[in-house]
Amino acid sequence: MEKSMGATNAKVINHIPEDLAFSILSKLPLKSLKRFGCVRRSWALLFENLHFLNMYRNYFISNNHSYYDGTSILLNQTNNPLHGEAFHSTLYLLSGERFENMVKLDWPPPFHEDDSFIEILSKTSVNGTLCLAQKNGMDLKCLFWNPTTDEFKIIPSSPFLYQSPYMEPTVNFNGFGYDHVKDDYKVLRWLCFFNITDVEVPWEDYLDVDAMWEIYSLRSNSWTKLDIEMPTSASNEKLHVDGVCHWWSINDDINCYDSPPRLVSFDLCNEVFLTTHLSSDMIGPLNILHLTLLNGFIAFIIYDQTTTFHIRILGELGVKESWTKVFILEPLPSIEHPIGAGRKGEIFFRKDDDELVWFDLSTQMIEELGVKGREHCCHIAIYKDSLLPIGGF
Amino acid sequence: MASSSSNLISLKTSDGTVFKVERALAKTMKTVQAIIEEADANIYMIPIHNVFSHHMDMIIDYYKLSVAGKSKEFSVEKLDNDELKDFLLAVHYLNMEDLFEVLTQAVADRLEKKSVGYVRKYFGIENDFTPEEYAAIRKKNDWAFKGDDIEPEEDEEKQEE
Repeated sequence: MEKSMGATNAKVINHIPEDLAFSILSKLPLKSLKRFGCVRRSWALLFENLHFLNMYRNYFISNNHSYYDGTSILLNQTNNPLHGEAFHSTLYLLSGERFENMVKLDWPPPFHEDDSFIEILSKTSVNGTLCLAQKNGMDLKCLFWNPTTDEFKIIPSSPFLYQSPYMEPTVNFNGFGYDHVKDDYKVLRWLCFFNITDVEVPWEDYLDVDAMWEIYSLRSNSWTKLDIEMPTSASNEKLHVDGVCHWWSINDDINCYDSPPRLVSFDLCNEVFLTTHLSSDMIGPLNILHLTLLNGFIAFIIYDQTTTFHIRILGELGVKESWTKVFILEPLPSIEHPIGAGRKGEIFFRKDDDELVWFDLSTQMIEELGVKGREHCCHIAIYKDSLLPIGGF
Repeated sequence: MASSSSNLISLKTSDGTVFKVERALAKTMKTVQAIIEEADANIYMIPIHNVFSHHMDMIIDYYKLSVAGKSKEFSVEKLDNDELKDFLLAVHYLNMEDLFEVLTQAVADRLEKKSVGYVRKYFGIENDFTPEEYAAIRKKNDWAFKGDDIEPEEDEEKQEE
């Protein structure tokens, strides 16, 4: 007869081996990881432990964040093929594991005559609708567009733009997104006003128009002034996640003076904002800072052609100490600056010969896309198609 | 019911139960697969230490679901945190890749809002910080302890507002 194994009900093992512990830890959000750094000494140094870092990075890249379900990538490329001539924005839909399929999409009719510097606001779609904005001198165009159905809706002009005939507005689009409480699409922008030069303003007509924020609501089809003092965006990098618009700024709250750079997050539902400062070691004289969404998380790519290529992921909004350095990479020679991120750890860049390329975080390989782009206006957007009418209501 | 024994492997759990499992399922257990491959003759029964019959039941459930393409339907909700840990340790011992990923994710989800004290007990870890070191690192990461949904530390009194 075989000897029985001796059934035991007592828990034989209580201690979890470190390898197994790392497998669990690598799947935790940054906030939990930082708290559990207080469990024991070796866990305080998790992000300096190469073994752990590799596990964490692999999980980070391969984890399918729901933000990207059913999405494709849009590349908005800006180029002036005939130097000195006009710039043109061209839109491509990228698909395929290695973006081997690039389909050019036509802009909607309002942009057929002038397709220069079109921005896909907040690099996002809401129920298949994009918000396109264009500033060309005095002309200002802003519209909603569904590329799948070709429906578009021009956003009316704001009554605040020309409050005084003697002042010219400068407009800064800060965000587009969805208010799930009111089931509404909103566009946020900042206006500031300058005296039109060479015009004598009659004393009685003198009106000092302060800079202001305004928000457009699709439901009311109108612009409303926002009584808020908030820094406006300093770059093209604007994001929208879960009803919150994010951008970054180097201006102070009244947009007059230079301030330390910070992330600004505006909640479209309750119309309040939060700032998150960058930690001082993120800022350097040669660094390019690029705000992006990396696999669903707010991140800064800190890039300098010769010395630096880091990626910092934000652990918690509002907490300067929570920018965690997750990726440290070799800088890529002849690659000038990032233009956006894809769905699974792809980072798109512009090279110094204007070629647009993408970098795979997991394999660290670079591939050309086959198009060139000028200026810092080229950007990537994440698009989820839908056949719904604009606004869905 | 005749069974072609070459397609079934007998696994004996710690509590003495014998499970006859399909070769394909045994193949997902790298530990068992290694034993089979190393055996000179056809092995009759493989003992699997630290694996109890209730673990095997769940392993078989998961296997059936994944063969049917329904692995997402597998749930460990009914297990408490300690039972889940035991199950994970069993699967870790058996070296089963897919189920291991599922369970480590499940454990991570359970631990996400827990306190440092809880995690120490759960992992069987001693605090090796000096009081000064702990105070410093606690202070440095204070933000990670804040939040209504985070379990408070047992030894820290809630501050009066």
